[in-house]
Amino acid sequence: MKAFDLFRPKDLFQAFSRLELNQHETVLKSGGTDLLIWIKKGLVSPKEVVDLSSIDSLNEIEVKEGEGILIGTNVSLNRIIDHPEMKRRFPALIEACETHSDAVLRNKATLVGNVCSAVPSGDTIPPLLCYEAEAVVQTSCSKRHLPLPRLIIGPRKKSISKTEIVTHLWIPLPKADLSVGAYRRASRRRALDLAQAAVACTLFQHRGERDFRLAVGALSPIPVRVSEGERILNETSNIDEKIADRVADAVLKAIQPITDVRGSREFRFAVTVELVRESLSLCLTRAKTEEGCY
Amino acid sequence: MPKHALSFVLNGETVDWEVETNATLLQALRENGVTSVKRGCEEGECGACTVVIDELAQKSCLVLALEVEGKSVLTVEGLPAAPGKLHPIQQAFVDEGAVQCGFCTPGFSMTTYAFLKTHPNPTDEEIRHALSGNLCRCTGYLSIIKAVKTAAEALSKPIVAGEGGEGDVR
Ligand SMILES: Cc1cc2nc3c(=O)[nH]c(=O)nc-3n(C[C@H](O)[C@H](O)[C@H](O)COP(=O)(O)OP(=O)(O)OC[C@H]3O[C@@H](n4cnc5c(N)ncnc54)[C@H](O)[C@@H]3O)c2cc1C
Ligand code: FES
Ligand code: FES
Repeated sequence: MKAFDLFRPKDLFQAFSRLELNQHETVLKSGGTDLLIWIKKGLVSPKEVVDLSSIDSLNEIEVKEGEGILIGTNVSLNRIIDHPEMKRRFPALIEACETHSDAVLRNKATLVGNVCSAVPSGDTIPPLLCYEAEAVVQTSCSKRHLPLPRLIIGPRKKSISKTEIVTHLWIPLPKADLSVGAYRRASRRRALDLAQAAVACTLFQHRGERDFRLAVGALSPIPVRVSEGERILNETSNIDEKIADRVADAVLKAIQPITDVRGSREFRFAVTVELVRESLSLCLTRAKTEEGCY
Repeated sequence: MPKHALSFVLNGETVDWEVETNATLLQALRENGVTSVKRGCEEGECGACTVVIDELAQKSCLVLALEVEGKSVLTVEGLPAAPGKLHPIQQAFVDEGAVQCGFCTPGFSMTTYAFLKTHPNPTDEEIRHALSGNLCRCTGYLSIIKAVKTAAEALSKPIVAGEGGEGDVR
């Protein structure tokens, strides 16, 4: 691996001071499961890596009742999976985390790192879009919340500057009696492979009102919500196969799949239809069988 | 590259090493003679380099050596066993024919060690899931899954006084 200096700050103050000092030659690391591979492959050649994993205050999952859940940048995917509140409130995100890599790598890979990698196939991004997650972006003297569609602006491209850190993700808690969801992805093997196509479908129910959300990954330069599909679902009381087909059509219109090593454009179109049907049907079945879980 | 001081607990004993900032834990361990930890893909795919860091299985090719400062690292060299005996996980791998060339075995053993601590009575499905990040090119996995079950049974048996030598090997 190419040589680099390593800075392991004790707190955010030290991290910001370092970034401001060295801004153009520094990259941030959380788990490092993407970053170290990119350095090994020569895709990035930083002079210095600022390793956020040494900052204890970024290890927490904090539930703010009635408002939202705050997840620090060092929280691993396995900790998200094991967190009872996350499971109860954000089931499609849990399913996506369980799909990510394998049971050992998930001890290291983080949720914030997955978002910050900003790759089209990032497994946790479609459900986070459904849940309207926001990145908490800080500098030494400011703090702002950035919705994910404004953070991720292209493949591996984020809108934030070199002196900013995504310290947390914030997932708001919507008012709902029931939250169900599903994440379905196509990949060549179950573990240790990236998505060829992925669909997240979530449903919040509150006093009889239903709120469907739908997002896709690996099918466009960045994962996206499909608002037309959501509109069809939210305007229909009896969702049958015909409706599911209309939703799938809306999804096909919203995506621009490419041909790459993992699959052809044609395959991706075809498999997307199946993934939409599957995730929707799972969501509806779960809504019938799950107890009011909010 | 200047070297940096690193102090951590390796297999129960504090060690003080000098490592380069870009050295992975895998490299540092092997350079310091801990050669049970195997260098496979070095990209997080094969699991041959798996060690246990503070109770969690981790792929050491994706951990920087300096990240384990102050932490506790366990490799198969440190699996507790009675004198002259193997740890029950290692014995189960031998007994069930789960070792052929053996290259993947240390990694599987460490994943299994961390897994059985939290899942003392695992189902086949849980075992498959837990081992999904470790690859074996020889055995076809069935014997490995069986070995994990056998190890779980062995570890759940009460310790017979005197038999374990130094006591609990779990
Ligand atoms: C074997 C293997 C299998 C994989 N399988 C999958 C998979 O199935 N699905 C999937 O989606 N991904 C997969 N990945 C990719 C990777 O594991 C994930 O994207 C992971 O979640 C990244 O998290 P991390 O903490 O390791 O990120 P890091 O590697 O630490 O960082 C990733 C990127 O984000 C930046 N960054 C990190 N933290 C911050 C921050 N706080 N603020 C701003 N920028 C930051 C880094 O500079 C870097 O560019 C796999 C990787 C490997 C090696
Ligand atoms: S060498 Fe680390 S996973 Fe293959
Ligand atoms: S025994 Fe040869 S790779 Fe597993």
